[in-house]
Amino acid sequence: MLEVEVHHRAGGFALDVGVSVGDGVTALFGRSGAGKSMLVAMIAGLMQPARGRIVLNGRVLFDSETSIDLPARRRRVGVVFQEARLFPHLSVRRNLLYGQWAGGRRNAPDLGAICDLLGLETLLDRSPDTLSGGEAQRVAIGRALLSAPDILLLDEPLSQLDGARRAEILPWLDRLAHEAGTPILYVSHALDEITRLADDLIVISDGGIVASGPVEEVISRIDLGPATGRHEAGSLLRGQISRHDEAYSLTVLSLDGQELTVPAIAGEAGTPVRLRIRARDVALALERPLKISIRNILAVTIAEIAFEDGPFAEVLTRVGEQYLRARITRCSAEELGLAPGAQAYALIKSVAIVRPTLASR
Amino acid sequence: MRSVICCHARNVAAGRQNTTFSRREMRGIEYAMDRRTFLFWMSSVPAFAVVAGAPATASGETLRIAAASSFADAAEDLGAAFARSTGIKTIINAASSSTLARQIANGAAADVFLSANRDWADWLADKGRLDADSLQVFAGNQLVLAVPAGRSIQAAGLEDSLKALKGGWIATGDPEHVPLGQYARDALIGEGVWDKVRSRLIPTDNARAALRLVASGHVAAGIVYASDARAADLEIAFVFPPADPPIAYVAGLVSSAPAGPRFLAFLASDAGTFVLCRHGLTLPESRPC
Amino acid sequence: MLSTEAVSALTLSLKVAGLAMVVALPLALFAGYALARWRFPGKALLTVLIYLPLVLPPVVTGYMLLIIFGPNGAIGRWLEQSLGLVLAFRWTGAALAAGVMAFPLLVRPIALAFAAVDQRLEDAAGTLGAKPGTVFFTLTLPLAAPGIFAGVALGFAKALGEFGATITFAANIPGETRTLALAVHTALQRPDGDMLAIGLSMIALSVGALAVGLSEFAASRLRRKRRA
Repeated sequence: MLEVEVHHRAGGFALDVGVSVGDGVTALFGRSGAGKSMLVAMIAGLMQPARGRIVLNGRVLFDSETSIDLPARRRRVGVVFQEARLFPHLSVRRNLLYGQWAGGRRNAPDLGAICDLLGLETLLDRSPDTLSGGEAQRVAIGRALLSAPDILLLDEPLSQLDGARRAEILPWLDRLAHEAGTPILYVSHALDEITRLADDLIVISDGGIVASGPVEEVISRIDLGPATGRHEAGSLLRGQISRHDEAYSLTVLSLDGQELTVPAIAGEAGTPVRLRIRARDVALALERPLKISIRNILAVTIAEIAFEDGPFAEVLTRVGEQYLRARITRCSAEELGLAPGAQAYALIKSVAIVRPTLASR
Repeated sequence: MRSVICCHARNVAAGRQNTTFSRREMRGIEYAMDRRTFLFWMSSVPAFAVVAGAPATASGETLRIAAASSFADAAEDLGAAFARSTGIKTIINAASSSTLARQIANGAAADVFLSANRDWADWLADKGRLDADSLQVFAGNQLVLAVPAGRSIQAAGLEDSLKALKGGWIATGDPEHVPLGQYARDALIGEGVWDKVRSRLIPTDNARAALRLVASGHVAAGIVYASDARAADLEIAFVFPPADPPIAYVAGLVSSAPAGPRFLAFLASDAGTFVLCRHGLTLPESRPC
Repeated sequence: MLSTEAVSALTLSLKVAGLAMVVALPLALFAGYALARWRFPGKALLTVLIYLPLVLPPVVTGYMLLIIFGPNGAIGRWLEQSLGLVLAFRWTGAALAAGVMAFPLLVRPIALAFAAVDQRLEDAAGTLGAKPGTVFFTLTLPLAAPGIFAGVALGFAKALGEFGATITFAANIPGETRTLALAVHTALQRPDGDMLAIGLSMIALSVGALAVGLSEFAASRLRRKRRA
């Protein structure tokens, strides 16, 4: 459990942050310049905040009141940076074990287990210069894990990789999120990484926290538009695989008593899935339409409507216990007379559902 | 440099009065000069060249004297006296006789060679760079064991004096080539102490260097010329008996400059010998000072 | 066949340059690291002092050594009285002169090498638990090693060939301070010393070339090992 409260001023930028990070994967999301990397540096001990307190598993890492400032090497905070920062003169194996033979860390996970987790066996005797970006980042993650940290900070680890490399490494990060056992703070400005990996989400903007909570909740909140970027706004839903339709290559998911049809995915019945649905892919209707190609029609209750200056309105609807966001024109919202509490139907084009990923819990 | 001028010109052209260079421009030119300073220095280069490259005057008006270093001061005074009486200027080049001989053999310009021993003059004559017929002995000297001022040792005789130095360093010329060193070696062999003393010797490149080491107090003692020891106010611990063959300074003509023979004659004249005696040198054929 | 003079000059040169390197290298590592990484009052002055032997005529440097470390010098007298150590006119003094002259040539490449080591790597090492000293020996030093080797080659070559400061501070005593450079100089003064001078020069050339070659070889081995 990591508790952070820091205040800092630097060159016109003010950082005032208070967060708690528990087990699982907590994502820290914000635009560039929001203060994410600064916060990571302060937690790791590479930067000193002007004021504040940082406590990890009951150990005080920093406290301006009592002048405690543990150096990085004593904090047991594992960090994976944007650039892998592997030591070029050591082999991958020596890099991985650096925390043990140079850092004196004990009680570290087994090398074999970490290699399995991240697919590093074939890389062990290579030199870091010969690795691809994705391989280097995996080694960096392994190295941080093998230093037996109490928490793992990943500071935009995929931001310097191209699309192909990122796609290659994401499944490994997925496994890491499930199986590492160490709490993870995952910093990113890429919403797709976060929706895939995170359990909890903290949104930071202009040096301050604007939201924190379970990822499905936070991601659908309307007022986060400026922080998350309009284009990416959407919802995260949790469902289960119900059955497969082999003939039409479709899979049916059950969601709070209702059904969704998606392009076929692998998995047995009962497997939990996570769905990302962009708000702009959701239309609303007051009656269940017939003779329409859209297969996914969910009965929803309108929870909140936000009218914007331009042509659009954001509508937050409830599906059972979960929230689904829709982006429609203001004109239509008024014409339909949508109001909180009203019953409606959300139409989601099947093909608009982002490829479902396996949920971490 | 060029980029400085260009930037400056651009700035001036653009009407900017203060030429504050952009960051990028500054990084490349750490010691930027504005245009005016630059042009000043460039235009003064020809002026320097003219002044510095002033060529030597024709050798008819100046006499180049290569003088052994132990003789340097006397040579200066002789040159001044010679100039006063004949109007011919002298340029003195002082170094060890060995160094001078090799320089002349390799083509260095000189008119007269004043060597601290015969050997080097003969060597130069063998190489055809010195007129053997012009060789004349013009002065002599004595060898002394001297100690720095204020460190006098109460001992008589060479052996006792050496013991009193408690194994300290003794500076003298390099016996391999410096006349002072060769005289010193002969003298020490003559006294029967060469083998004991040779490991304590600091061989210098010329007589002056040996003298300086003693005068500065960096060494315990030195074997130097009596004339030098007196000139430097050193304490004399032991005077070596006159050498056989005696210490002899020889002069010889290197070039055919007409002023050369006149200088050699001057050395033997009353005016010349007066200067020699004043510097503590002895005169040949035991003439009194 | 080498004459005794040549052998004496050669062994003396190696002894003097070797001792100079052994003493100067740790100091140069410290100075190079300080110049590359730290900011402290008087840094500019220290930089000037370190590079002074490079710009002063060697004889002037030798003369200053004589004033400070000579028998009449403040430090020289103290060394003799408290440690019984005399440097002037001894091969150890020649090593001091050679070391002082070679020092700036050591420090500059070493400082550049340390400055070139990515401090972000050192930060990463810190998060993995390594103490600053460990980071230095396991990370900074190995990464700076090729540059350090270059400095050592340069410094050793300079120490081998040092003349002006040596002859002024340690004099030209055969068997004690007459290194190769001084021996060549002396041979040139002798009436018949030309052949000896050439022979000694050849030896000096070979040793210098060997030293530089070895250091380049070591540096390239290091680089190749990394690329493997």
